[in-house]
Amino acid sequence: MRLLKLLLKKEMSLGMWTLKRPQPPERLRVPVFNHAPFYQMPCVRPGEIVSCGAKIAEPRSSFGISAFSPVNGVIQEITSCITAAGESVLTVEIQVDRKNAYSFLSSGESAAWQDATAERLKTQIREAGVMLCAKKAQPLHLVLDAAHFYHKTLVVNACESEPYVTSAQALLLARPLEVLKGAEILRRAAGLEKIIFAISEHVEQAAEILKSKIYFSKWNHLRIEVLPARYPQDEPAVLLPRLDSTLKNTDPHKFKNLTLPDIATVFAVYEAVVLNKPFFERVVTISGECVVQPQNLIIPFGTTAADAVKACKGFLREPGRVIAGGPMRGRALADMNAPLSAATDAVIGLPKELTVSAPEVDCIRCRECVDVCPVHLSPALIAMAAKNLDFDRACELDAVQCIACGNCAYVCPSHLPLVDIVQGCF
Amino acid sequence: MFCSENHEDQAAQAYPRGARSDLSASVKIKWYKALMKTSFSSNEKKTAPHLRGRNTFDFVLSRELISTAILFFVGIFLGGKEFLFSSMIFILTAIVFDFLFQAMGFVSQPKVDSFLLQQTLLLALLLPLHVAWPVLQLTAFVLVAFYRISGGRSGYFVSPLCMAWIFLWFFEPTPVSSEFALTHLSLFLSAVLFFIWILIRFVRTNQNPQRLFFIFLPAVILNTLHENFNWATACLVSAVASDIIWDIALAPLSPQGRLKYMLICLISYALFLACLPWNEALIFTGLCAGFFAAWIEKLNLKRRQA
Repeated sequence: MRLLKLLLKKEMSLGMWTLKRPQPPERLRVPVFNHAPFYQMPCVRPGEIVSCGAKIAEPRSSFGISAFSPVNGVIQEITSCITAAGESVLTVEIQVDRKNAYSFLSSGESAAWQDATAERLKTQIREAGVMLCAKKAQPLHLVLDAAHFYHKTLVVNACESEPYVTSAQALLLARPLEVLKGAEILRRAAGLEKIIFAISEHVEQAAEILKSKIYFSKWNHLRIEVLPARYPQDEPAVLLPRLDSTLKNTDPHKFKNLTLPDIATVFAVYEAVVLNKPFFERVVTISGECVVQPQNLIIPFGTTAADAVKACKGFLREPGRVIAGGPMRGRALADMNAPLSAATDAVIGLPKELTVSAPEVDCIRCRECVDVCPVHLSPALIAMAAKNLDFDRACELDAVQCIACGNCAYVCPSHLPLVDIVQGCF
Repeated sequence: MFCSENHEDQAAQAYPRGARSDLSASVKIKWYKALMKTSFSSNEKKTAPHLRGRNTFDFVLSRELISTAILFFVGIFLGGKEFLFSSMIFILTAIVFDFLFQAMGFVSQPKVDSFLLQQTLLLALLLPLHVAWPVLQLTAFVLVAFYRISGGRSGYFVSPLCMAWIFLWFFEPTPVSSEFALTHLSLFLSAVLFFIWILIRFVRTNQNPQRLFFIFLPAVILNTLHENFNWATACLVSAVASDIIWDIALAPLSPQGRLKYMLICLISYALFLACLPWNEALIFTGLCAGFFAAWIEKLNLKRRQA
């Protein structure tokens, strides 16, 4: 398997280390149903005044999770829409009180978590509405209950191998101790023994900061692993065999369901447990050649992609495509008014010259796609089966195991949309 | 405006996820059309990945064509007028037949297929000098007809080049075993040509280095069994042979399958070489290669299912 060495272009959004919270827009559409419908319902009505951090949706079952207002304002309406990450959700529209938008008062850093039991920590995480900030966001307490962890070890995924995206890197640089504490809380909540921070070599500076913090904290169960910057290093199927050489010959499909929380999740856990702050905002990278001032901002959920770009002074020129997420796995935005949720770590404005590709031609069986597939599939064969409408054969070829990393389509000299074809087979 | 349609949603609506294999052919066609509409028909893709690699179809094919064309021009230099005329007739006939086939397939703007052109140049290099022109034209017809009927590049099961050569072999068995146009190259010129070939094929093309090993190994066998080749010429011949035997359209896709395929081809080449002239051994190995590839692919699939 050959991993890709992409042009990362991360420096453009790392001009400022400090994480700013921009002035909220006039209206927010806060997503409520993030993982499954009817597990939680809005508990507010139009016209109701809500304060920052107030509950706007509450769980209806143990699978549900609360949602919170990120601002002070008035509830306008409850509608359904599609978020920037592509989730179909209910949203609570809030008219923001522009004079006093953000007034969340933390009770201060509490050390009570050090003596708390795992159950208590889990309850706190659940009550704060913390989600796993992955491509498909899901409530973190459910992930902890499912306990899909690697060998009693919490592997914190700080690789962030997609180009342009630096939200995890910015968090690591700006709040290293908080991130470490968050990881420790998560370890205790999940009942695990060790923590491994998997960091790409392009974030080596952050790795050094973390090492110094670990040295002073005397947390010997915590280890930093610096890995080469390759794509898709953040996928469990790629990451785990690199952390543990004994796993090199293991079937990569076995790692598919393992949970590797990212930095945003770990930081949210810290805020939820130590600061008693609900999960209503996250760090988002606004970047790309077309953005005037690329940077990382603390964006409240429900901010539209347009408003997030506006907070970075808008576009320099007309972008070819605006993407929610990284350019390899992200989703091209059909509507710039789509609200951002926990699943969106970046909004990228790509210029036209990068997005327009050569026309598609027939497969030449060059095997490039097979060489770069991290889960050892044969995308060319699956595409051929799909072309012949032979979906049984596509399933026999394990199309269902595709992790949609985009490597095959990236290297394909025939410019075939291999990810779409393979994903469409099951 | 830069905003694009959500193609994933369109495809999902046209064909919801679930038990796709149980659905009727008409529904499958509907889904496939939706997929084509959303992704195949448009030049500007809206789905991930939004960035693309540097290698393009034209880049890969142009490298193959250029490297073969250089050898062909050297062949003209060595073969003289006779080689020039016979090869030109062969190539031009192949191009004309290709245009005719494209026109029959209702292609509004027929264009030269660079892969077919490369195969034509390769066959022209291997052709004997004293074949009658009508036979050459018929051979060109067989090459193009087999290529087009089997679905063009990556559609064929047996190399069209080998099929055309077998056709010629039935007409004139003896002269086909005549010498390769590049046989009498000096050591220095062969070495330079081989170096250029390697440069064009392997630098910046993501070619698997494994293939380089399977160029040198047949060269060793060839040099051991045929004393009329110097080392550099044997390497050059192996390079040409690799385009026929390890044709990327034929070989299995999986890395392990590819390795097995190369080993089996190598053994079969050595066996044929023990009892046949080198060019006949090459063609017969090329003929068997398609069967080897299919067999290995089938074994791989069975193992995967297990």
